[in-house]
Amino acid sequence: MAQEFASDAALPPRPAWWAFVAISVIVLITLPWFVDISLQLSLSLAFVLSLLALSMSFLWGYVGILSFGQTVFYGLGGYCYALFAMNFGYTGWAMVVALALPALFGLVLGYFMIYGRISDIYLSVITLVVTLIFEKAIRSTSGPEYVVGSVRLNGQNGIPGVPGLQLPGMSEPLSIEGVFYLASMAMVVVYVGLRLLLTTPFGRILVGIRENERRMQLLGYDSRRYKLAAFVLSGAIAGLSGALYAVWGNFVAPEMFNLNQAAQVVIWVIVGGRSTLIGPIVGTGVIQSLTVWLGASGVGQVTLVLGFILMVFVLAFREGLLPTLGAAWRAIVGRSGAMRNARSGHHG
Amino acid sequence: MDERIAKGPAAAGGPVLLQTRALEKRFGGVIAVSKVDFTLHEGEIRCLIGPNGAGKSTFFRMLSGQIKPSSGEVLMAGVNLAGHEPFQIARRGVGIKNQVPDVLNGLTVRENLWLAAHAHPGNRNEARIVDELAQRVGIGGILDRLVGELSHGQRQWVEIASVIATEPRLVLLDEPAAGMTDEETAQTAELIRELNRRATIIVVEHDMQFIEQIAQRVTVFHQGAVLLEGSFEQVVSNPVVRDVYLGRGH
Repeated sequence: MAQEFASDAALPPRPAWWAFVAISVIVLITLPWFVDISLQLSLSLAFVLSLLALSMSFLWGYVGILSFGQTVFYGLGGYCYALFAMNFGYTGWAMVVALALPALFGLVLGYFMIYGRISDIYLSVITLVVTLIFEKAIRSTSGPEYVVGSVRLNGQNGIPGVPGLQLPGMSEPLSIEGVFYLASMAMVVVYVGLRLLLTTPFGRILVGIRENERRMQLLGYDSRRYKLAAFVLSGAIAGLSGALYAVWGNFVAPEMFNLNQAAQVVIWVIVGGRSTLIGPIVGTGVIQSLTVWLGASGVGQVTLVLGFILMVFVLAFREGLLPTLGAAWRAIVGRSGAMRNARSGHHG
Repeated sequence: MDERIAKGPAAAGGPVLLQTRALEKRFGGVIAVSKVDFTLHEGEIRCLIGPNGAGKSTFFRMLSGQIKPSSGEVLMAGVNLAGHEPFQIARRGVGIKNQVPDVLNGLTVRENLWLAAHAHPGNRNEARIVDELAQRVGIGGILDRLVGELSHGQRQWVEIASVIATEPRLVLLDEPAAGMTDEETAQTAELIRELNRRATIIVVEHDMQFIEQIAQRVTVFHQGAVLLEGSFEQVVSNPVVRDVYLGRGH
């Protein structure tokens, strides 16, 4: 697997990559014909969470910013969608608001962190603290006085009955199959969009900043502006993920902001490999499946197992699953090629 | 007129490009650069010499905005740039090669140069500029190599080429020949002379043979202040300079 953040990533994607995208889209379109509703629901959730992982890996892999609290935008996206849709009934506009408000919050938070010259490690801590503050704040809104428009926030019970997305021209909200298509195509569009972003001057400059921010400044780039733009974009993607979660489950809750959720995103990205965009998608799928399996098979101890997996990857496979497998594959192909050459040389 | 002074187009008579007034940098109680008044004319190649810790690199980093002066002024074509951000100073036409190779190690030479060329607002044909520049600097054969895999000398050239790609008016080169072979050093000297046709240059260097090849005037730093300024001969024959920097055997 070619590393998307490697130097050749600035070139337009190769035909093989486009073929991979096309096949993935065909598979995703035809999949609901062959799998049952329960698997469709599980896969839809994995796609929604993949978007959250993509928002983080974009920021970490492209720009080198480890935002530990991407869940703040995820939770905001979910709550914005729920509150707007339940108050006004326009679910399409609720989706727009669920992208715009987290992006705006990212602009304000990012401005103070990035222009305030906060070092990377403090930025990670601050984003985590902010998401935890949101969780605490939402949890403490169980009283009847905490109402937005006509909707009670309900504290730690969350908001049930969030309406599904009803697109213009549709008589009723999206079905389970419709949500599957929405989530899967959102994931594909964001994945392709982020990959193509690398080929633009903006994407190249972001990668340059990740490599050596001081050098980029000395060349004349205002790195803060680019980092802030990336932070806002990443916030919007996480907001989209949160809104899709609300559409998927018809429910939002303070857990969307909590430490458990925030840490899981980091695990998905580390396990999948932050140096690629496809890695975090695979990481999300693998870890989510494992979590579901651990729960269903009665093994339990999900947190312990996930913690162990994280340690193994951090200590032994720092690049993550896909880059490690890619390197192993290249080594095998290289060795067998070398053996073939040696054999033909011997016979020759 | 001294032969070396004759090398530059406007060494003696060009307009003032850079001037520092009482420029000072203190780190706690330590004064790294002490009230330096420095004047550079358009078209010059100026060399800064001095023992380690004399304040040369700190002076460079203040000129390029990497550290903020404690007091004083940095006037570039009459505009005070003291305290400005590095990118603002770069946009005013100041390019710097730092002492330790300061490049984008995870990217190819081509991408390093592309990003440098793109930084200049007037450049919109970056690919052509990259190819031309690579030929000019002599790194055309390694354009698609990862910079992190190159030798120290090659990375120095990549950094110099990156600086040139931004088309600066003033180029600051901090030890451009450090760690280079004799042949590479000679090529670097040639490159600096060629660059001087379009830009004014300040070079921090320890290699006196290298300095002799390129310098029009030499400024000697000692204990954070300017000790002496003059032609190469004036500097090397000065007993105080020989005492504090060159050693009596020089």
